[in-house]
Amino acid sequence: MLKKAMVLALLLAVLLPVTLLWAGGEKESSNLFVIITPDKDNTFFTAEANAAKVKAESLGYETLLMVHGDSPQKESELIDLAISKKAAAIIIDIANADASPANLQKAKDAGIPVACMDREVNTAGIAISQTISNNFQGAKLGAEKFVELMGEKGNYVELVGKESDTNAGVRSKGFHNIIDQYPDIKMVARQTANWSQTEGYSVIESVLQAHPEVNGIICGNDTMALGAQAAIESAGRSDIIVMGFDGNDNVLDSIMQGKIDGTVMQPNALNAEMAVELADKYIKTGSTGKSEEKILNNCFLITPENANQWRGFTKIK
Amino acid sequence: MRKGQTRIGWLVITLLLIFALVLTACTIRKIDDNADKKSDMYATWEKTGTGFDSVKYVDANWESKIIPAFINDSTEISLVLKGLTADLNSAIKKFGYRKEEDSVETFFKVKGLGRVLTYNDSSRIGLLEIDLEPADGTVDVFIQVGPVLKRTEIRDSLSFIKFTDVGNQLQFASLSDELNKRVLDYTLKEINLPGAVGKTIEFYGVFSIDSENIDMEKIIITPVIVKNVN
Repeated sequence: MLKKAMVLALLLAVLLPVTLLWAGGEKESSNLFVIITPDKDNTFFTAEANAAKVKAESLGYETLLMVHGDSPQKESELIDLAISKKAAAIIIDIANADASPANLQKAKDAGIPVACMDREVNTAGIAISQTISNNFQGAKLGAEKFVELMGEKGNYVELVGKESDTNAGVRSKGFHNIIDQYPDIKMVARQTANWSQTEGYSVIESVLQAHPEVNGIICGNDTMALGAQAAIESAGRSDIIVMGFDGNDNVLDSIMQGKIDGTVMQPNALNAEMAVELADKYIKTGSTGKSEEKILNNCFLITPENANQWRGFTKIK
Repeated sequence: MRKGQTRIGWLVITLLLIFALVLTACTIRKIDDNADKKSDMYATWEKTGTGFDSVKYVDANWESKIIPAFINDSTEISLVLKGLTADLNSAIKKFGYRKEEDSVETFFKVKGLGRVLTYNDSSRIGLLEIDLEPADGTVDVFIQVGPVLKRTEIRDSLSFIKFTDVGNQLQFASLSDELNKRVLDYTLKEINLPGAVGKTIEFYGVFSIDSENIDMEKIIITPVIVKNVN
């Protein structure tokens, strides 16, 4: 009896580490690209997810699309799921600059390459690549045009995005980097509208009542610009310059109709396609072939002259 | 004897179990053989904590690396302009610099001599309109002279400046701002802009083109060195 127990325990003692070694060691990965984005209601993120999906499938991978809703906790669960599915790669637009690196590290430790798109991770060496829109360059580009359209003078309102999103701050800094160099342009209000069209509408509605002298509105994204433009129209005004940021199709239409004056096109689809291509190259060759982890893709200025050249964040070929 | 053997047996098993438990707590990791390289790469930058100090970086490199890069790598501007008109792609290859091979934006470090025809300060992006030698009385290129400088061409035309090394977008932008500020504070400070009209200047600088959308009539150079010749 005692001997049997001894043998059993001995067997367990030997087998346990062996099993663990086997489980933690080389494992065969699937043909699956897990694509994680923030939101499935925002056209910006759906376009991004779709561009990644199409590119991955064209390279012969299966795809699984999921959203984290800007929650690092949810993101962590999705990454665990991707690990359990032995994903070949994870293509992700992260939830949060501070919390996400730890989530991504889990995938890296499990041997799954992670390619980031759109939002930037400050910690280097976790992702195999980060394909990012140059938000600061884009914001400067938009602000330069805004200043020019205002004739380098006047009174303006800034609509800021969601404070928790790094890009809201980056774009705002880019705007001010340019506009603050023009002493004849004064900011009469700076308010957040949380990336939201309805909030953009209500903020501008009340600002215009308090400050009828406003002749320019610069917005941290396109949905807020659409709200601002609607408020301008219902106030019966047509003399106010509106500048957006993102390049979504509704704003392109508005620009072509002569309403919104301009926006900044993010190379959103390009970021997603590059992320997939780099992950594919990494899987096949062990390297992305790029000298840098972070790849900044420049934004483009959109005005009535070129608004018809873009659709779905992609330049029409 | 038998009792002693059993005791030794249990001892061995206990030790093995402890060994197993210790192993369970371990994760097997590959040693990152790039770790040394990475820290080396960062060591070449003046970093304060995790933040990148653009002022320190430009202080340390303006005279020693940045100015020499323009003096050594610049091409005669008339040669570049002729090349771009004749054969865009081969001129890009021959004289241009791209961050990535497939990017549409190309940077040209250029030098030249030219007569200042006008100083246009109707916008805060002030421009000198330049008639390049040999003079024919028409404007060939513009040099932006502030007080607002557009674009990030100085930063983006230097191959030794890498985004990943600098850090995030804001730090990267602050580096460009600081480089442009040096142009305003040093390069252009000595120049009497209204007084430059009619005079010949020598310049070193950079301009960029978007190969899908090129406008040869509006080449604007960001200067790095400007000297009055007469």
